[in-house]
Amino acid sequence: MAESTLLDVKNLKIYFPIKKGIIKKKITYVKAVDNVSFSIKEGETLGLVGESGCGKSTTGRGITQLVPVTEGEITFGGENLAALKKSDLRERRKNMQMVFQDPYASLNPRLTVQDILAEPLKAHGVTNKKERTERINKMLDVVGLNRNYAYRYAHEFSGGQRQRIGIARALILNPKLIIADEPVAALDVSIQAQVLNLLKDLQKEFDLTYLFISHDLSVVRHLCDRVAVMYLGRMAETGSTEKIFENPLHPYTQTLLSAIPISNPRDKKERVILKGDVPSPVDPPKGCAFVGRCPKAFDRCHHDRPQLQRMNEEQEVACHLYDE
Amino acid sequence: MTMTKNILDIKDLTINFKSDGKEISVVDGISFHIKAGETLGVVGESGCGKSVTSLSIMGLIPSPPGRVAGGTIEFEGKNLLDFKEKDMRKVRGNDISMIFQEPMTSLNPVFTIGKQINEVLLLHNDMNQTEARNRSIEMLKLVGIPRPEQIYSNYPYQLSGGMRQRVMIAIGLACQPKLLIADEPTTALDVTIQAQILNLMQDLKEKTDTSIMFITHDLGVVAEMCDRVVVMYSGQVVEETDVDTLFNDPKHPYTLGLLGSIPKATEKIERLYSIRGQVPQAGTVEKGCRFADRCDKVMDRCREEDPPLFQMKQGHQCRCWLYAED
Repeated sequence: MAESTLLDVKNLKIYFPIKKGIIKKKITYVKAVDNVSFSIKEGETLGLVGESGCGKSTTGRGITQLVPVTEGEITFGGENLAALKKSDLRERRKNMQMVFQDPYASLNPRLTVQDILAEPLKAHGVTNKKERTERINKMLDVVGLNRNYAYRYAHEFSGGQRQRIGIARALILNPKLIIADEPVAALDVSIQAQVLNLLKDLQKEFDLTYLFISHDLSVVRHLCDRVAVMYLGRMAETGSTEKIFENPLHPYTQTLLSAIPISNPRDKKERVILKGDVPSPVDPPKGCAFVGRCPKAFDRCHHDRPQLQRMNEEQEVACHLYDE
Repeated sequence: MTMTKNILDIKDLTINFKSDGKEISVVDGISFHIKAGETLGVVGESGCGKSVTSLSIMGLIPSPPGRVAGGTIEFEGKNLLDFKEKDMRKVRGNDISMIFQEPMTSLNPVFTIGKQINEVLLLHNDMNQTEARNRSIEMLKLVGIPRPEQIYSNYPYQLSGGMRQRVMIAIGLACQPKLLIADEPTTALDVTIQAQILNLMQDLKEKTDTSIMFITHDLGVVAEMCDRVVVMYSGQVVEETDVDTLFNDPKHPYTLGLLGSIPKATEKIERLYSIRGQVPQAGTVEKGCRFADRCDKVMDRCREEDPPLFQMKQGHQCRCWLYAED
């Protein structure tokens, strides 16, 4: 595996203002992503996991600059994206494409598959129609769809086929990085397995780097090399997939793993059941974000915010339990 | 037969839907039963007919275009299909109740939580407002909702997804039904919340001795919750067995395929098994086994003749020619 870093996110903050009154005074902020750092090496798959509302999708959108970034540095292929001009940013976006969760909502119902796939090509200056058709046909082969499907509309396809179209659209510009936001969450198990296998094959074939956003830990274990666990807009733990699953350090990661349903009735397991829901990101706890639900919380957790600290070569955790 | 009696007994149930002038069977002669106090899992992918089956038990098939074309649904010995709408209303929410997948859309947004629980109680019981209120608050407590008195006068939008699903369960169990039908009750929830809800359902089952029909596509949830399992494919039951056998000695190629295609959190597998192709549309398979086109072990016979259910061992049936004895 190549060792150079493709994407480096440093202290990313994405705040959404809450406005009130006639003059739309900003009264407070939703801290959707609050000081998140991570990096992805070329050819690697990083899984970004967490519950709904933890900021994992916003992080993905922030990287492609689809939502305004409040603070922080995003370096992609050695360039700081925030410093780029708009036209240059457009050019760079060619190299990072997104695959979305809902294949029913993310394809334009009024376009044929051919039009859907031609759009990114047109936007990035492939003006020759013959060349476009050629690339579209090749792409359909790659994702395992019949070439004749090019003239059909999105509603004629099943969920799995639509997701293949979504993947084809993302791949057609030969990107380096694919940000996949819950790409299999809406699919049936047998179709999910097909799409996961396809994603794996494509990665090998085109040297792709994936940021894989998911709430499904089993899928993450299957696909990812490294995992980053988010909670309430903050990073709780990062590490190699093996370390995270075999030896989770953060109490949140531990409960998250214990919540996965068992895969055979013979291995009943002891479960840590979390109390309550994720607190609101408008008014997060003062210290550790997880303090209200943590079974191991102590004094310090209530007023000191833990920072990520390196535990071993492969693992970092933000928890006071591991303070010196 | 065992000593416990069947609370629900479905025999040869066929449900047809009209589309483009043709009548198509979306559920095609299925039979299964649920014993008192048992949790039965009904597993299958979208379009296999599992939700339609549950709606037919409640008498909620939209008609037209749908209709129950044959078979019986016996609940405590009486065929629900013979019931008039007026009698069915007494059964619904009282003897049999249902919780749906989407807690966001199955609660009424313009009524308070309290009012929605009271509604079921007042309809089926001889209660006054104060008694209903007390019972509702008691139900909210039972399903583990904090500050029940306050939540009682809240509206659905003020609650999170997990809390709403708890409210749905409270409504479902308010009249202490004999059978609870849960249609994908945790699919829309996060894993930690799913674990909470599953735990809650287990606890409540032990306390109230309600039978549960648990409809899901998630085999992990089945492993945790169910005693017996029915696997459905394209409107038919393809395998029926106890939960241990389903996971450790499954017979039908479809069941095997499903089990192989789930990624596991406990070990890393290089490549998932994937069942090729996709579920056929209802009514498109004219003869032979409906799974034939996707099956790895397909034989000539499979394409010609529709396989019957073969008896494997006590309580284990499988619809596949591989197990024919000739």
